[in-house]
Amino acid sequence: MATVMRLVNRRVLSSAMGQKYVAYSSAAKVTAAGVRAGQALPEKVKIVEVGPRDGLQNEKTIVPTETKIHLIDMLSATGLPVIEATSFVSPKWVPQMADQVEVMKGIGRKPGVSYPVLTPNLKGFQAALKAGASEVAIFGAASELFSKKNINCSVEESLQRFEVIMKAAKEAGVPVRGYVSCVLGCPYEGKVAPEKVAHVAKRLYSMGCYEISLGDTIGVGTPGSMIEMLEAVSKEVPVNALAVHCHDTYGQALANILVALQMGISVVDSSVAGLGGCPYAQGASGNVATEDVVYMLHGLGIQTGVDLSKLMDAGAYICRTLNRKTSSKVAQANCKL
Amino acid sequence: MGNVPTTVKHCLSYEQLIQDYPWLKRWLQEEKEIVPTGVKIQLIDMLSGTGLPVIEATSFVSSKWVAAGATEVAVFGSASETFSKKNINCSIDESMLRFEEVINTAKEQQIPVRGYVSCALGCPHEGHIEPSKVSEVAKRLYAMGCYEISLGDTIGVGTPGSMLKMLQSVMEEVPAHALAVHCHDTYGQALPNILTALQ
Repeated sequence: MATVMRLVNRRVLSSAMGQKYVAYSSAAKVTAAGVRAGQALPEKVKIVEVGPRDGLQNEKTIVPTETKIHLIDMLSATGLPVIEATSFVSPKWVPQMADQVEVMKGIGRKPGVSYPVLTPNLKGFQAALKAGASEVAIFGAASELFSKKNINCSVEESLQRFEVIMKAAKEAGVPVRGYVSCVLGCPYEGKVAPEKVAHVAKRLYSMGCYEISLGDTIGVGTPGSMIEMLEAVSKEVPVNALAVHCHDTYGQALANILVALQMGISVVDSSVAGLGGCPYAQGASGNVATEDVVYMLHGLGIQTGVDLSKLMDAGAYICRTLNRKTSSKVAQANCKL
Repeated sequence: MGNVPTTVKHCLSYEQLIQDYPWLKRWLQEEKEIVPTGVKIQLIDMLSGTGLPVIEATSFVSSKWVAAGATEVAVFGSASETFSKKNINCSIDESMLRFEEVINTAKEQQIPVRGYVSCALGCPHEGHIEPSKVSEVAKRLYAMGCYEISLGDTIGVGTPGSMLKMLQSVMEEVPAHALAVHCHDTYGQALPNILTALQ
């Protein structure tokens, strides 16, 4: 299998093949020289499970606290190394996450598993720490309009707020993960320049975020635009500190994740059962399903540490509770109902 | 999209179509029923308007296709013996003899023939399928005179790794320009598999 992986990338990343990307992404201006040659697919990929937070936050049904806790406990048993548990955004803005403290206190913390929580500001950070959080995440955007509409301030203002959180986190010895949204397109601005993404990613990394998750928030990206963006970002942030957070709104998530792996990324965000629709496209899917990602990675011989069948049980559980169909194709294929 | 016909799955403006034609959405949701001829014709005409260069129109299980005026035909082989027996009631070797007849008739009429190999990345009965079996069947169809061989991941179990292995094997026997991929999305892997094939 190792030989197969090298061959995939040698063929993909040779300078002659670089030209072919332009053919299926008319927006991408990828030059042959920008594609790196000779890199193998990662042997291991860390999956960051965002279902309990990003997923449930974007579901119409508000889920009872006990259900969230049970879901997180089931996910902890699958082997997932990181499970985003909740968000310390004001319940005024995100009522789905109002039980943030109870969730943090109620979940079983499996040794070796991280349970990061979102913290938009210092107040949220302090509340998170008080509730027992030992890792936090901050959310920037590569689009000015999205930043203003989503968190009510400009990108620069948000970065200044984050500096305050970073200082407190350093003092408390708490690692911080940075997110950049709209990396491949914005629902308001449309196209987003890769240089803008790189700028925001660089600022977050320089501030002290240990990892930067690059989010295709509306799922419009395709392999060509993913490569273009990653080339720009990887000039500013080392590739081993990058993650991809692909939405499957246009069915492109797995293909985009594949090219990210080919470029050396080894951290992938996903959501069990593909929880979390797209608030910008009525009826469309949102997060890529963890089951489908794991299926692809295991098929490639890449280790994730995740037990797919336990993961599917967790997905089935939350879908029954939410009374919704799973968005995972793997789960649908294996459904015995 | 489950049981949705292949032609619709390849339709680039599917979302627009079901928005503009509610009857189409209803039809697709009830696809277990036999579709009226008028509906099929309308669907194909709509697809013709999208820019798609090839639209697989229908299927002739017996030899009526010559009289019906077909201008291109396709034959369906399998890389799995069990699938061949269960699907078309004969072994792979026997199917090749039947296809030879079709292809010879087609040659006389100067009708191009496309060959399909199903179960290229896995079989619902046999499970794993050796890439060498796929290349053997592809080679035979190509040698018989098929202008193009479509390699089908019939149950959608393939992933980029198995797609790559299979294509490497087939490409030793059939040139890349005469190959196509027919990926099913049962496990959500179709697009990364197609991307791998393009690469």
